[in-house]
Amino acid sequence: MTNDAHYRPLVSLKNYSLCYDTRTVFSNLNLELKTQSTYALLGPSGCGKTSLLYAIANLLPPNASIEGDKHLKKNLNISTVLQEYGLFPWKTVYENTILPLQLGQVNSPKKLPQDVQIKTMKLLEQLGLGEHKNHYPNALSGGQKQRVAIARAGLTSPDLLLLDEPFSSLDALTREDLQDQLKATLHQSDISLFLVTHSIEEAVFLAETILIMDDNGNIRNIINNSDYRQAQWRENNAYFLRIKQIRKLLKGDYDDTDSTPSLFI
Amino acid sequence: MTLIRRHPFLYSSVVILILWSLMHFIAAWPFIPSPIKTLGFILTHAILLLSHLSISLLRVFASILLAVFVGGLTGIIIAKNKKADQWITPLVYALYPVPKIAFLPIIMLLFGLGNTSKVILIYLILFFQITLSVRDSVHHIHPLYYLSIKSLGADKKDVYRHVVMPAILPNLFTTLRISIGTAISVLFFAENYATKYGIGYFIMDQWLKMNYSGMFAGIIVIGTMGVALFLLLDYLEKKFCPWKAKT
Repeated sequence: MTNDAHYRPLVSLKNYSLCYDTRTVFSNLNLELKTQSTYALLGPSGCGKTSLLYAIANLLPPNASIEGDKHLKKNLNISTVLQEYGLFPWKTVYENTILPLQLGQVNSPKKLPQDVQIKTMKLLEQLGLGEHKNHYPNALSGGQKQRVAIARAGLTSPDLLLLDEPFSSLDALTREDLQDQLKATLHQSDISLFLVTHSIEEAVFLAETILIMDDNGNIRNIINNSDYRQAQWRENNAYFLRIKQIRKLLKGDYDDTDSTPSLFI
Repeated sequence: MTLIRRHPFLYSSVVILILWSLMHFIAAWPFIPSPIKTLGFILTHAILLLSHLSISLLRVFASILLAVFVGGLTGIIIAKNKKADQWITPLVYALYPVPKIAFLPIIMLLFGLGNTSKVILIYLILFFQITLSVRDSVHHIHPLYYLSIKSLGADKKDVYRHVVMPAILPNLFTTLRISIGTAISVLFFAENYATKYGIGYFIMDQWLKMNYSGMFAGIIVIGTMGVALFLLLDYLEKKFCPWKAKT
């Protein structure tokens, strides 16, 4: 991949405003998401984080009105993992995972090409879901459901993976395990990540760039977290210092000198 | 308890048989024949009973299939389309409580005295139940499922195929269970005009001939038909809604 390609944004929002009926969610927002980059969006509840993710993924409800420019890279392949996993209770683990490749095509996953079926099974095996392939979501734990949602999002080899509070309902150990797996997968691929989360620890562990949104839907700080790739990052002093710094910013001290808004338009 | 759980229909048959025998021997009314005599009638008139049963089954199946198709489609349309909801729902609410049997003269004039009018009468009763049940099922589909399928790049056809249809199926089966009871009751009524075929006609004919063994044989056959239809629904539900059985 050339440097030029690397700096060409996957998603670009310019003076982008969003309203639901008469309520303004955010206005004049500027944002660029680049290839092979990972972003985390932090902010208080109800500030518009999920709406921004939905705007990028074209999932806004009919009562949303938009102003400004949104530009997506040509043939951009986006996969989204929703807050509540979004698995269908009437489909097995295997059927849920293979669904994106089945849409608009065949009635049964069994009629899909053999290589697609093998790829799906391989992905499920990698995520430790092989033996659960014929189970329905209600028979799975929260961690397993999350793995299925991630497997489904990863199956189409997306350019951009959008995650909305992906690990919020999981216990601490399962959450760390899934975060490790996701980070390793992202490092081995060209996939860019845009993560919406409430967890400062999660943002600092997974994202190269951390965006902080305020109550009014403005992106107030952009934190460069490029040292997140370091080994044993969770035990690193810099990791704890970054968490401390972000906690301070979230509490309203927006004048932190470490933030670098120039990364964006 | 295990025996009842394993063989519920054997249990209900035995209880009914005991109560029936008690009534026959204690009350000794002529219109309650002995179970053995009735069983003898069934065995000696098996072909006659089967021919009446097959015609009744045909009428019930035709009505149910028509009601599922038209009622299901109407339910989905009024649930998904606001204009259709505004135009159709008030009519459904106004016509649902009206006894459809009151329309029998009109149905007979429009569709004749044959099978069609009988099928239409049963269909009209089932249509409203199925329409409203499907409409409510579609309304109760969690918005997350629509968002999820949309996030995977689905078009409208995919949304119906992968979300709407499977989501409404369990409730449709529940409604069908209720509808079968109604359908058989109306069938009995419908088979008592302008026909010489059908298990409803057979029961009334045997009653008028004061052949109570024959009448009870007809009642057993219509009851067995109901049980068979329930079992068929259970089988279809397991086949088409396997996630319900495994959760």
